[in-house]
Amino acid sequence: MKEKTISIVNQIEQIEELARVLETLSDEWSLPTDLMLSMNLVLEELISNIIFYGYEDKSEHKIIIRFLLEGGIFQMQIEDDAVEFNPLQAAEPDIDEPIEKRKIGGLGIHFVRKLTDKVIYERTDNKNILTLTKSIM
Amino acid sequence: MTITTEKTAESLIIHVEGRLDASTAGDFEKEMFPLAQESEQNILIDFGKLDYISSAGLRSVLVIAKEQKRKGSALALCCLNQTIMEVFRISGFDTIISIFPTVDEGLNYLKSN
Repeated sequence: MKEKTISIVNQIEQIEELARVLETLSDEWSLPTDLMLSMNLVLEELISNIIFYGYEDKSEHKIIIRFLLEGGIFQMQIEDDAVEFNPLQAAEPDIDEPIEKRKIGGLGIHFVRKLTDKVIYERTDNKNILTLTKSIM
Repeated sequence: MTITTEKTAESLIIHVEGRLDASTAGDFEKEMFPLAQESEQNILIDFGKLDYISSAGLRSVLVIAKEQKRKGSALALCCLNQTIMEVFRISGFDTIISIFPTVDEGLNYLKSN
């Protein structure tokens, strides 16, 4: 069982840090490259949603991300103190719309759904806890 | 993320290198939008050296695509790696933007548009 926990703050520049952490993790845990890249995307989409839409104040907030590898399953858990938001309840984007009508909203969650096996949302102690798993074939 | 531009007789080629994510997509749009606005040419965006794209990156590409359409010019992308192609596929963006494996195929398409 391998485990790593990191903490970032709610600034969009931290997206670069996510990429670095995943690259390092991918080396240390021998993760396949496509898994690393898809988990990077999943994490970026969720974290940027939290950073852009999650807070009603201008303060600094911590976002904790736990990585776990066990029994061939890679797991990420995001814990934040942003406003209550369950990404699973977000509407699916219409991916058949032509250019003029296309919006970007909802795409992030769409990627999350498509690139993970299971997503579980919990709200506890005023925190959002989102757990995502992907099995490594 | 860096952009280099290359002018051919018919089209403008934009070579993008690095990552188009939530922290770099804004810069991409800031540089690209005026290029699209001021040019009368069709544009080919070469993603051969792009390592990663997220929805923020897709958004910035969509902004350019909409501007080109508004002006009656064409846009094409080329040289996407497998992972990036997958992102375009999952999002359905591969059906609204013309994508080609090589620069030449992209340029040929733009020549006939």
